[in-house]
Formats: sequence, C-alpha cells, structure tokens
Amino acid sequence: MIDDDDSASSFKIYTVRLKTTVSANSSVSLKVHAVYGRAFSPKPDEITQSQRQLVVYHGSHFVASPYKVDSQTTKIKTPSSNVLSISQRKPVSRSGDTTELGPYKNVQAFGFSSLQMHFESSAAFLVVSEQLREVEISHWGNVAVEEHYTLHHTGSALKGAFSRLDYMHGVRGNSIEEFTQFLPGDAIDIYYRDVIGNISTSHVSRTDDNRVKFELKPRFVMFGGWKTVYYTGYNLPASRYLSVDDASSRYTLSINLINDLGEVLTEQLETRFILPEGATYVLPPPRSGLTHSLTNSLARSSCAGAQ
Amino acid sequence: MQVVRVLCIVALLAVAVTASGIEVRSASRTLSLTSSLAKETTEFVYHNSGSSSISTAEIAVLGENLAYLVVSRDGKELVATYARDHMHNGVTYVARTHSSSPCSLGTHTQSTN
Repeated sequence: MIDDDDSASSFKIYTVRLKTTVSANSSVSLKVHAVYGRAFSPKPDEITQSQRQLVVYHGSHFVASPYKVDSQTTKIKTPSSNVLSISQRKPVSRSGDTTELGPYKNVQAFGFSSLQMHFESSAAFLVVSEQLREVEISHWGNVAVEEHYTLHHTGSALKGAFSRLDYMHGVRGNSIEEFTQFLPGDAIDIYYRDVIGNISTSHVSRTDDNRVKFELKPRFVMFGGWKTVYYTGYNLPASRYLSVDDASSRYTLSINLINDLGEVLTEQLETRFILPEGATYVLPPPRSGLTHSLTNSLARSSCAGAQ
Repeated sequence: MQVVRVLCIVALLAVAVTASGIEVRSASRTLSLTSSLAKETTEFVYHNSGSSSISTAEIAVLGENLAYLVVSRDGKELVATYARDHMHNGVTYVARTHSSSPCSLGTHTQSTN
C-alpha cells in the first residue's frame, strides 16, 4: 500500500454526470483532459542571451483521484531528451524525450507524491495577465470588437543587457519574436496598435477551418521578464452574430467569449458589451461562474449614453 | 430494543456506503510538457462495486491552476460541475466561488440579449 508523502497539495473535485447509468458490479471508462497554466517555473530564474532556458515542472507522481486507484501508469513527454533531474519514486524509466512512471499499485484516494522534473524547454512562456474585450453593437450593421492585452513572458528573465548584434547573429536565448491570434473567419478591418500608434508588423491569412490567422510581431522581441501592452480590433457583420425574435423584438448576441490565442494562458478576462442607445431589458450572459454589471457609457453618437 | 435500533442504523449505513462504492481499477495518464501549458490526458476505468446503479461519479484535479477541463465517455463530452475543494490532509472545506482561469484553448460561445 502506497501512502501519501507530501502535505502541500489540494484538489478540486468535480461531479460528472455519466449520461447513462452504470449498473452495479460493472465498469465505465472515462477520459479526463486537463490543461494547467503556471505549472512550470524557470530554473535558473535568469539567463543570459546566449543561454538555454531550463524549467521545473511541478506535479504529482500519481494521477489525481477521489477514489483508490488499483493500478496506474504515467507517460511524460518533454520537449527534448535534455532532462537534468526528476524526483524519483520507483519505478521510473526514461527513453529519449519520454519518461514513464509506474505502475504504482493501490494508491489511496487523493494520493499525492511531489514530482519535479527539471528540463530544457524552448517553449514560449507567454501569459496574458489581463485582457479587456469591448464588443460594441452598432446601428450600422457591424459588431466592433477591440481587445486590449497585457502580455508577459514568464520564462527565465534576461540577465545582462540585450545585444541586438548578437541577436542578428542568431544568439536569441528564450526570446519570442511573434505570436498568433485566431479570429472569426468573417473578421474585417483588422488593426494592431499600441500606445504609440499603429504597429505594421502583422500578417493576416486564412486557415483551412475558415478562421483568420493574425500573426503579430511586437515592436521589440520579448525576452523573459518582459511584457508588452497592445490592442487589436476588427469588425464582424452584425447579421451573423445578432438575431432577433420578431414576436418580442428582442435581440440576441452570440459571440465567442474569448478568441483562440494558441497556447497562451489568459489569467483575467473582462468583456464589455456596449449596446445601442435605448437598449433595455438586458439579460446577463447565461454562463455560470461569470460576474456581470451594467453601466452607462457615452459612445461617439450617443446623446444620453447607451446601456 | 435500543441494541436492535443501533444495529439497524449501522446496517443501513453499511448499505449506503456500499451502494456508492466506486473503485478505480486502472488509470493511464499521458502528460505533455512540450509547451508552456501542462496537458494531461488520463483514461480511467471506474468500477461500480456498490449494490445499485450510479449516474454520477467524481473526478479530481490537482491544485489551483486548472485552465481547461473536458471529461468524456466513449468520445462524448460529459457535464462536469465543480463540487468542492479537498485539502491533502483530509479536511474538506466549504467551497468558495470557483472561477478557473479562462484559457484560450478551444472556443467559448457567449450569448446575451
């Protein structure tokens, strides 16, 4: 019997509705796909422009389970075979960029065993710490979306000065030159700006699944510890996103709560829906876990302020 | 009489515990650490060892940094509702309002009227 060996852990428990019942003395297979942000920490915290980035993954040797687990295995894929260390709970085996843990037998409910893996990673550790979206429904047949981002590079911070000359010679450390957003396929009038003004280093193309791929290059390459603040915007045809019930004359807006930023974590999102002047009887978005409030705002053509 | 009553209560409790008995026979996890997000896919085989059918089960996720969660059965997505926190030492706290970080993975459609 394996006991837990670490006390610094907490779990969140979810109740799953199984759709159809599972009768007594029978089994059901469930697949759980979970994505975690902030699961890595850079080690060392600082690197020079010529050094490679190393990170530590913090997790558990055991799968998270509210029930006792008879037998379990874990297969871990790392970006490269350069794994400096891994906390051991035997059996552990490694081959190239793959590490296998277990099988572990008879792990108690909420079993936890601290797992730390130290390895090289050139992944882009980008985090949107704040995102503000403004969705303005216009009388003129369009829905104008503007998104304000504060984007951080949370990898190892740059130690020493940045050398443009070295950078031009390919010494790029953990710098990030560009990142990508995916916009709705009918987005038009796309722009990319910051406090200085328009940023011209962007590129727009269409994907196979009819989305708009919006590649953005900030004014400067981003090294660890750096951040950039910018905003983007585009127009959508109201006819595709706004529907009306003829009987009640009530309009319904249906739009993505957040756009796909690739593998970038958004930590805080605020969305403002700016409705046309005179809009009344506004119902909150039907999604649990969201807080909402109503305010008045003066738009360009408002007389009394739109709600 | 008191002894009989106590025995009946104990028997009922035993039935109740048995009726909700779920065991995990096996768990196979794949953990991808190749990007800035840790992606975990685990296939569980849950066994209902109780005496009656079950329509719900529980899953657990580790820590505070969950960004995205999908539970499926036979390829079809199931409804998973946050229930509570559980600390490692066995103490269960009343859950505060949960709001996991919105993650850009996938799309989330929002409607208002």
